[in-house]
Amino acid sequence: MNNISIYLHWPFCESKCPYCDFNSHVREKVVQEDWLQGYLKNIRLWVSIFQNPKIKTIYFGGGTPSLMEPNIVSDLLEGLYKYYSISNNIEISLEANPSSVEIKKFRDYASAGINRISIGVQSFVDKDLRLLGRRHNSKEALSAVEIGKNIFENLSFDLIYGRQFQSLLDWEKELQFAISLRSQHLSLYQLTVENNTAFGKLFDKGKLKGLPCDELSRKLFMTTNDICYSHGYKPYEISNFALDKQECKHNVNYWKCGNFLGIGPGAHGRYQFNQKRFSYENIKNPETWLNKSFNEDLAINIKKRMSDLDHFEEFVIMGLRLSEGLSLSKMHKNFGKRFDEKILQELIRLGFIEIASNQLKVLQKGKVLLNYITKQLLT
Amino acid sequence: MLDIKKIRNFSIIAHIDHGKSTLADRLIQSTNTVAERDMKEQILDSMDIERERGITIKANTVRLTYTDSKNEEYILNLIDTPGHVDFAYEVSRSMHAVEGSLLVVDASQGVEAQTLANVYTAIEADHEIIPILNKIDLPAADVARVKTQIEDVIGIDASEAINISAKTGEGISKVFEEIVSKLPCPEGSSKSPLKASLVDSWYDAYLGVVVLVRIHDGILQKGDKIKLMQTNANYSVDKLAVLKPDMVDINQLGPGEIGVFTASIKQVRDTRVGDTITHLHKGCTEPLEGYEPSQPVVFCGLFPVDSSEFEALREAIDKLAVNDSSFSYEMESSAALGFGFRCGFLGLLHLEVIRDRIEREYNINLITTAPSVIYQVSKTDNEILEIHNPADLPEAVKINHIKEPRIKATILVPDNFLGEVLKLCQDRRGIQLDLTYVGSRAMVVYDLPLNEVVFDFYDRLKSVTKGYASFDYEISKYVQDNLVKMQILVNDEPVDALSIIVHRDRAEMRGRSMCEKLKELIPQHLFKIPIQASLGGRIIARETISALRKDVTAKCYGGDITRKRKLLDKQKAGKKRMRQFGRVEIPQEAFINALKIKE
Repeated sequence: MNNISIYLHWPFCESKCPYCDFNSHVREKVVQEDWLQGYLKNIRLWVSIFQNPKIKTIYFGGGTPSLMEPNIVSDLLEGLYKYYSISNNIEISLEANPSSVEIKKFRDYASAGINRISIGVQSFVDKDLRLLGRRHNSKEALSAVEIGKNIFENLSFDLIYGRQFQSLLDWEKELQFAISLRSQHLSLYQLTVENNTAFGKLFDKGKLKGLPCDELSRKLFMTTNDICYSHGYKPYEISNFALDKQECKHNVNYWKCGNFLGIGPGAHGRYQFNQKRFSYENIKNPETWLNKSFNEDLAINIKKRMSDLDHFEEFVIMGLRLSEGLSLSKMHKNFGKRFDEKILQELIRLGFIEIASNQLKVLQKGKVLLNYITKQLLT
Repeated sequence: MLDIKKIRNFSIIAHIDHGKSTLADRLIQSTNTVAERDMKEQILDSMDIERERGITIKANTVRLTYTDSKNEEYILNLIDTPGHVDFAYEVSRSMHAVEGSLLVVDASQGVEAQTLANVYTAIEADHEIIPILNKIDLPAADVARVKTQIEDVIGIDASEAINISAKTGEGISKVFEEIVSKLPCPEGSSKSPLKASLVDSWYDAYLGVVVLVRIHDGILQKGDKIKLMQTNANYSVDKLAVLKPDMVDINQLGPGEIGVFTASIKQVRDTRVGDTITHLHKGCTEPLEGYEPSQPVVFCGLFPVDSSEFEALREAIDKLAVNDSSFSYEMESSAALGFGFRCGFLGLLHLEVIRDRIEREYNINLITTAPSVIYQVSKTDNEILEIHNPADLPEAVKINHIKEPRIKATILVPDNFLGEVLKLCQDRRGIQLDLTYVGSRAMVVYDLPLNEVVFDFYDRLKSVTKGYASFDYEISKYVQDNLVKMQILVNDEPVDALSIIVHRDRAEMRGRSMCEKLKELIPQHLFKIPIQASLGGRIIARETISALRKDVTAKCYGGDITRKRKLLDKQKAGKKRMRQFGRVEIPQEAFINALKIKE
């Protein structure tokens, strides 16, 4: 293996958002220097496993990685450069909250090497930001986007739609506004109520009111795609939209089942080694992860050789999310698998997919039912 | 030859969880019948399901050698009997093979419905009964109260009841003393022609059919030519043994003894429980009084989810039936479910046990259709049909009337739950026959239709009384009532496997409840699915499963894929258990779960 992406997970947040089920924790004090050493130790250990790894992308995710001090980010990147060779057009992203404190660090992040920023705007409506448990307001969000645009060559921001009490018209207006900011990239996620979150608990008790019904949910999804498309934002993945050639390379690597190393509590990784594919997961608890990083070797929990079936299913689940679709010839060559012809024909008849020059693409009418389609193809 | 005066034969009667199997363990241990290293808990419960569910299904026998304080040696034969209502027949035939019973009552719980039913069976069999209060080591044990209760409810003297803890072993020696001093020895003459009763039989993979016998008169020896008087079949005894509880070979069995033999008998069905066994030559002329064979009362269809497994299912059912003559079956074909079997069971627990064993031991996924009782259908042309499959019901115009079986149910319950119990019985078309109090416990007797009991009555009873009620029943009579066939239509097509026969007054409620349940159980499809309940073409309930309009995961990055895969694996497993009906896929659990009544 030589081309890899690196994901660094910063597991801390100032507060936990009620919809978020990521591995994030609130701690009074975090000794960032210790964490730097923990990351560096893991980076060093991983490199010994591979021959001449070349990094294509780096992604600081979380948690809230914009809580990291810029010098820590800088030292971490320096550490990586020491062991790995770097691709010329490397993409280095960092997720940031749009609070005034964090905006002030943007320039230093850029000096440290960050060239793509992804801002967790979530909404431009103050009332909704509060419902989502966010600490920033719409003004801060707007200024974060505007300042960020001047500093980074590539800027993306996230919005959550399908929120409580949000009408189709509300969202269309908000989306039009977001588009008018002409960021290079947009991540537009429909609100998902996950178990083990505050929203999940409220939902189970029947206390999470005003969520859209399936029909509205569908309309929201369709409209989002239509509006983005008509303004030059290509819906290149289910929830991701980009101006020409501004797709997030790091994430595309996930969907194409490339190699990636995850470093940090709870981070996942996948890589090819001696023609075999492996998957692993880091220890989830931050303190346990850090201790193990210091005391023993890799702070990982589970590492296993993936079965051909596992690998194949990931290839399909991930690949179908991309608008460019899945290469059926590659699928057959790599896994010796073909989809059931009857099921394919039925999905084509329903207008969910199309197949052209051996490339299977899920059409917009199918995207909104992607889980159903994936299930049909794989079971 | 054993001295008949040194033999005692007995059974143990108890409600579920009152410690019957533990007491048996203790008796076996203290007579060193089983070597310490081979001892395990509930040693007499041999089936996995028995151990798992903590119930005894099959009666089991063990021969103990007890030496009393005067150094006299006694042979004690213990038959451990099942406690659940479905297996009441096992209890009754075991009782006829012995002279006495140990009545075990949990000193912290008191008398339960099952205890009552079994004690009456023992009294009918002329048993001497030794009351025993178990679990006296528990803080909640209330010996005096339970003694009074035994006297009040059962009407037997409990003043000399033995206090024990089967768990700790306290009081066990006293149990032995009383077995010897209080229980009568068997009667019989070794000089008379052989007269033995066939108590039970089962299939052993190595030995073939094994027959459990109780000798009344005469002597049975290895190599003897014998005759089964009812079937008039002749055999020659290959092996003779006593159970300790493993088989230990023996040369002969005399009057009063209990043992087993094999005689190259091919099927359990060839042996009739209650039959009299005698010698082929110079045998006895008068058979012993036999007992009623058990009859299946609950029927349902068992179909393989994967229709290619039909032959495997046939094999599994054949094998299980070899060892369980109380279970009946015949081939059935259903428009919706393909080929399967219509099976008859002693009750719902029996049904569940057989179904679990097929799924587990033979690894076949099953669809179980609605359990039904046997209806007597009088047609307009005076023909009378016995029907247990709604699909066999003649057209409504050809039916004069339908009779259904009713039961006499006895329920014991703490009085604070009485209201709930009465409501439940009333809702199930019950007629109250009796209501008496014993201390703070009420005993209610209800006349109930069996078809209202077979689905989930016992579950409901347990839930409304937090497990404090006990329940027992016997089938009483057939009564004419306003019974109709209700069909369920999924996407406008009738699903025969979901049809039920139901009382007209209950049809709408049942129809609504089934439609609601099915709405939850059938996953969304790409189109709208109407679910309807109909009585002779008239729709009485309706639900609609809305079409699947949106099903997409918003976020799926490197860390999410593992979770996504797990979801897919679950869906795959679910899909295996789905059955296609027209354009609709119905999960197999739907068939049985749709019937459970929400109340």
